[in-house]
Amino acid sequence: MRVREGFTAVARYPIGIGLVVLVLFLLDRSLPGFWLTLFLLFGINTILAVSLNITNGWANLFSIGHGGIMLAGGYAAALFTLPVFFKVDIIGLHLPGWILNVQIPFLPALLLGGVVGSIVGILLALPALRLRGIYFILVTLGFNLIMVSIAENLPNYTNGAMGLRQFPLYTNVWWVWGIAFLVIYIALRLRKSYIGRAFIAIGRDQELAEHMGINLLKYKIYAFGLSTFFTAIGGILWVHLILNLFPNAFSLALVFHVVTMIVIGGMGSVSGAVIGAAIITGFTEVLAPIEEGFQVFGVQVPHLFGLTTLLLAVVLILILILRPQGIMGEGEFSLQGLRKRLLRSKPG
Amino acid sequence: MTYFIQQMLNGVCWGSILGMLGAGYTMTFGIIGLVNFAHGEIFMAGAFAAYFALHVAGLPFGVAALLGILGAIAIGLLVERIAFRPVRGSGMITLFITSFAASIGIRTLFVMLFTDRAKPFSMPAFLKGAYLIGDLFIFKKTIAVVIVLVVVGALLMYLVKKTKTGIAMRAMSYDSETAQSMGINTEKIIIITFIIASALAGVAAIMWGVSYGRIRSSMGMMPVVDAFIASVIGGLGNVFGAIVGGLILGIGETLFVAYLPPELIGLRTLFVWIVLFIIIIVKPSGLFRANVK
Amino acid sequence: MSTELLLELSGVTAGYGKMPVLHGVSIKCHRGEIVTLLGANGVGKTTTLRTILGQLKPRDGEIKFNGADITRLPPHKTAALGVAHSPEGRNIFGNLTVIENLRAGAHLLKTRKELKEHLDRVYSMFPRLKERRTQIAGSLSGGEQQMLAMGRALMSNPRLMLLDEPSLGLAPQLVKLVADTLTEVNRTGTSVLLVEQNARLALEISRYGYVMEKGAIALEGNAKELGANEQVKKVYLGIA
Repeated sequence: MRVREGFTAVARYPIGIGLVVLVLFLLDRSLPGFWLTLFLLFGINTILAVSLNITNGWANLFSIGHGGIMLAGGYAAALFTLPVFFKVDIIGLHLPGWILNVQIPFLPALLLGGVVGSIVGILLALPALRLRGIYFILVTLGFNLIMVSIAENLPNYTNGAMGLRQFPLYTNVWWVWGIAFLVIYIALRLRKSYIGRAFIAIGRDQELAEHMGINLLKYKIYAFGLSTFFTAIGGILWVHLILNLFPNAFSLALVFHVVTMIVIGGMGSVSGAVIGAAIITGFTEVLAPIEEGFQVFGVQVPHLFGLTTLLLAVVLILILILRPQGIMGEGEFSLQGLRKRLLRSKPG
Repeated sequence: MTYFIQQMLNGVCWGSILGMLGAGYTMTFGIIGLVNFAHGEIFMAGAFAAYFALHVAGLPFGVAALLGILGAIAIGLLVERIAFRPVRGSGMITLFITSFAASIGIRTLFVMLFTDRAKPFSMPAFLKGAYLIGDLFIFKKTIAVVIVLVVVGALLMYLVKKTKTGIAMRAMSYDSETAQSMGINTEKIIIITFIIASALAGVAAIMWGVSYGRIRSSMGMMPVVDAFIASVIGGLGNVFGAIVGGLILGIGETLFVAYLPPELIGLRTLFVWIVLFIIIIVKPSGLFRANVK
Repeated sequence: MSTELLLELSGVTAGYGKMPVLHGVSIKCHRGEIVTLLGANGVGKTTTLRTILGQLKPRDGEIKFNGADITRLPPHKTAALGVAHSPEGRNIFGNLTVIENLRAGAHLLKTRKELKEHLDRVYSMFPRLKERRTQIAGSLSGGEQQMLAMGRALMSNPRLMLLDEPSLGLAPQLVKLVADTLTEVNRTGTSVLLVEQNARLALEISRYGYVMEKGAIALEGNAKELGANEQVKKVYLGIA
């Protein structure tokens, strides 16, 4: 049995899949509440990071608008998964009956939200891709700001800045990690396939890719459509975990956190995205209680909201100065690579 | 009709602030090729420095204004040292990310320390009040703001067009390597550019404080985008163009909001993006001559 | 004419990526001389000039100017020592007017008097520039841009002028103007290191010459001797 590239090896063997399922089952049963939530957040961040990597890492289309995508997908799903009494009686949305009077299960909501996110992403991409360099980034920024603004200013459809509550707790280990593993698998397979290599070629040198016969617009749209589909799903999973949806939670700070994940992990690396997601999730949750304020040696340290974001900003700048390629660079984790590195560090 | 003119005046006030911000922004953008997201925070820091001088230390307005400008310069130089110099030459994406990180970092720090609640910014007695012409209120502060714009703008134009440093800056924005072979010390020019751009942001901050009477930690977040768009409208690196661009945006946005139905007021942010969209499609190089190749 | 050594490259090796472009290049230029660097496209002539200026740092070897070591000096400091550059492709500042370009070239001057004197001198050499002094440089013709590039380099009254392909794309009368200007400039004390494809022109006005091939000096000598050399005649002068 040859040892092949770490992850796809696991997927190919039923034993591997069985093991993963067993581990997830045990974790679901045994993890106490805080750790389970952390584990789920890690999974959601993985989905967000791996999908962001497709556009920002591989195809070098640096978008900072995915907060807006999550809002689009999030609302699309939420308006159908929220209980009827909430939509009609409590917040009184002015939406057609076929939306207000239904409550659908998770899978169709996820698919619906994902598709809506993808469509919105493509609608953003079509004009934006005509622009080069910093103008493209600027338009995606504008998109994010506009989406938040729209969500906050149309209370009849979205309940405005007050947001949505009373979500059913749909998110669990199976949804999150099932989709996470799916996204990782798709990304790793893509990397070897023509489409994935086209993305990477476009990212490395657009003109060269064009000379090689790659239809730039088509593949850029593919990259956007795929990335935003899963980004929206990540957003929906998150909303059904924290059980609320506030528009300003999807502003630039969120965007920034995901960007930090892929930069730390290495832009262009799927395993890097996973590692980055792990680090940032841990970092954020460790700092969360400190942000609330705490006691040390009888001294009351006041709350420091935003400490996480601030420290992440510092870390991000340091990484870009000291190790801009991130932890994994553009490569992927492989058992062979690990073995070589361990053998090399042995004396003699 | 009076309503229209009144709104025009408000627009000129807002446009002057944007013009000042845009002028500083286009300098770093044009001369150094840097999209400085943190420009909004430099602006905000200047406002806070003036606020502390005015309300905490109780200093007279003139001194507070000066300290505001110095505060902006200090933060500007700090940003240059920490977020730009170490990654110079690293490619546009990296420079963007560091400036983005610097912007979010500084803003978050200020929110953490001072909360995002509005702080009062009192204006000096001689700027209070207005002249009444028919039904029209012409606020003294609006007149002051416009005068400052014209005076500072004129000084800036003189610097950029006539002085040796100004010519060196414009040469550098076009072709920095050739500029170096003329003996132009590009490192020094970069520092000078940052100082001037930050000072302009500081002036804009004082203008804001006087015009609106309130400052807050997040005040730089939206205006920096307006400053960017004003630069694009005016042609990259063109200071006069950025000032005109700022006025166009300010007047346009104010009139847009003035005639918008009340439920849609929150959509004001849409206006500048519409303008950007139009400019990029119709005349991407801007209304005036850009200073970049 | 003094034979004091102004510029000396010893064994300079330099390049852009993994492979060096220059291999152990050694060149001497004496005070008051016009020295020419000949060679086909891509042999490293422009790279040599860029290395002297400091736009490129050599991996090996030494560069001395007026006795001082300028090997690792950044471009603006080398310029301050009295080295001026008229680049290949002219590289005039297209966003500035003619006179602003000239003022950029005068960046190192200390007094207005010097600025006015040098400006007048450049105007007398290139009357066309005076005519067009408020015109945007980007709208000048090729020949006018070359005059501007040379004029700009002369504004600092340099000790040494590095010229890269000044005659490229110019009509014959303008080529003659370039040659005459160089001769005149040299007469008043500026030394010139000239990179030229037009070997005939270069050898006519230079005193000494180097022929480069594949990043190294293949041949050197008196301009007259080089002009009589069979190889040079065949390859660079097109005389069989």
